[in-house]
Amino acid sequence: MSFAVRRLQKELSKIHKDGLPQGISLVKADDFDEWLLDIRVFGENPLYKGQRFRLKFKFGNNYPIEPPEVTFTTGLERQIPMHPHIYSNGIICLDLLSPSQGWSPVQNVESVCVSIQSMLASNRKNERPEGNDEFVARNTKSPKHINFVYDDPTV
Amino acid sequence: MSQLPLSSQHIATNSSSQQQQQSSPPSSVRGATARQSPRASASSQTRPGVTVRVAPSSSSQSIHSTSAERSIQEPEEEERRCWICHGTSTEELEDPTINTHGEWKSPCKCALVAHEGCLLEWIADLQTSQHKTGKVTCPQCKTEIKMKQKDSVVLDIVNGAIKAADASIPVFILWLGSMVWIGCTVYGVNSVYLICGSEFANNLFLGQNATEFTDLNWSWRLAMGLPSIPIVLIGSRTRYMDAILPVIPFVFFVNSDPLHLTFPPSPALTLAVLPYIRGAYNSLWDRFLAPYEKEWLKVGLPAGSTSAQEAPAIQHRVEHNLDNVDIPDALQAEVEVERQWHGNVRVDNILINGTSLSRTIVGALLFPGVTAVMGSILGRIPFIRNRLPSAFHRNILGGCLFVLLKDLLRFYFTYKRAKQFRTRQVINYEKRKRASRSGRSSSSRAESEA
Repeated sequence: MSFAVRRLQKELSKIHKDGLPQGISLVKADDFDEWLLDIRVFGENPLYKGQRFRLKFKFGNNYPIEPPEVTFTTGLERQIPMHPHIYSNGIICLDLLSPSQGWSPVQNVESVCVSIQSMLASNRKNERPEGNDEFVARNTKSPKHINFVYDDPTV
Repeated sequence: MSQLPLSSQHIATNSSSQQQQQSSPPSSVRGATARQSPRASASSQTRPGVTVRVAPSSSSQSIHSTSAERSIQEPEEEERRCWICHGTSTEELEDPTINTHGEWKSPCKCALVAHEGCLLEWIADLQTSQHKTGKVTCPQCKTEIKMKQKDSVVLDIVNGAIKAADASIPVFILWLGSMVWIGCTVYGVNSVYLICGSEFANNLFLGQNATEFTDLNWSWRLAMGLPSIPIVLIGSRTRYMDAILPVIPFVFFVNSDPLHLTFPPSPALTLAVLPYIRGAYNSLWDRFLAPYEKEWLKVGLPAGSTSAQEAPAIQHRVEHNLDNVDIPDALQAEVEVERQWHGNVRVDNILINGTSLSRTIVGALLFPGVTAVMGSILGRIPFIRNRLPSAFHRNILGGCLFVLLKDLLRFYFTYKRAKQFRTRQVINYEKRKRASRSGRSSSSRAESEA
């Protein structure tokens, strides 16, 4: 059994036993390659009020040494949230998800969801990142290997 | 982008509520839980999603196998959970084969514990990733995680040597470069003195009326020109310099001298004209003498060894021969040889190329010396001494004569070699035996025995 599968089994059994924080729910975890989770944002933020967003986690064999690939996906009544660090193709610019910068094995699926939830909750700008259209049209790389510049401490 | 305090508060409340829910742990462990909880909640507030040293009862499998086992253990023994693989110490106690990650380690001041194997794998990944920072720190408390490894004298020596080599590369390049530069400059000065003679060379270097060597008139022209002399000399043996050579004298020598036509021409003018003379000589040679030389060189090479480029030429020649058109003697002879002999003489091309390269370089560098020798020989002849009073002009003339002589000699030898080759015959075995029998020398007997 691989390192990643054992760790994900632990995480899954913990989620089943203890549940997830408010606003986060597990949608699909049939295997240890890809999980789907829904998140909601509470509070008075008008941007995301009453909406659900779907996160897709892709785990490599080297999880949790390497970060999972986390993106927003569209689906039934699920849109990509408006955010200055979320591209319209669902790619999230977050240092936590970068293998070389913010990620460490101390993170897990739950903590990543919580971080993204809080990233949405604190946002007041109804906009896409700069150069979104060009990036969405051109990018063929896996989000993990894009060299984002993490320079915005306000979000 | 940084994490918000909001998220960590979120988790902190979550984990503390978990601990409240764990209502009735076995009595022997309760003390440990009570002692542990302030630490655990304190640590989980700093970073989201991390609950370390969870109370033992949280592991569902362990509930039934509790008291007997637990009472044997020390009372402080609490469950440990690896922050990397999430494996716990309780499950390892139940099934020792499950642990493949090594000993438990607590490398930092916070409550995180992990298997040594997991830590090493994580650290190796950190150190191979592009943005390595050198230090490995705990992701939670940022304490530096220290490792030790067995000292290896061999590895230390090799690493030290690699570091020293890396550090010394620029110094070495500088050293090598300056050596080459100094060597080239010295060579350049030497050849200027050889060719120009000491009087004119002194004028060149020290200025017209200088008497002391300290008056050295060191300008950029000398600094650039002198070291480039050997390079240009070697380059002049190739066809690459044909375009550059005629320009160089103007840059370095003629600049300040006005052109005036006298006999013998001024040194500057002589030097400026030389590249053109060289070009004219080369094209004349190529036009009238080189074709013969080429044909003669081919004699002695087997017909099969001609390269693909030359094949059509041979075809052409054979056709000529069939049509009985008048062709030069040399070509005629070549065709005859082709017809007579189809043997196999292998010529080691690589070896010849290698030696001819070094021959070219050495020949080019020796050229100024040879020129000076030729000049001094010419100086012995009274007629030339009268017409050309300065050593410089005699040297230049000597150099030109040497080139001409050398080329003519080579031309002659090529011709002789081709001629000699055409006289080759294969000796019959019978004839050879008779010759050796009549000779009866001990050496020939030894040869035949061998």
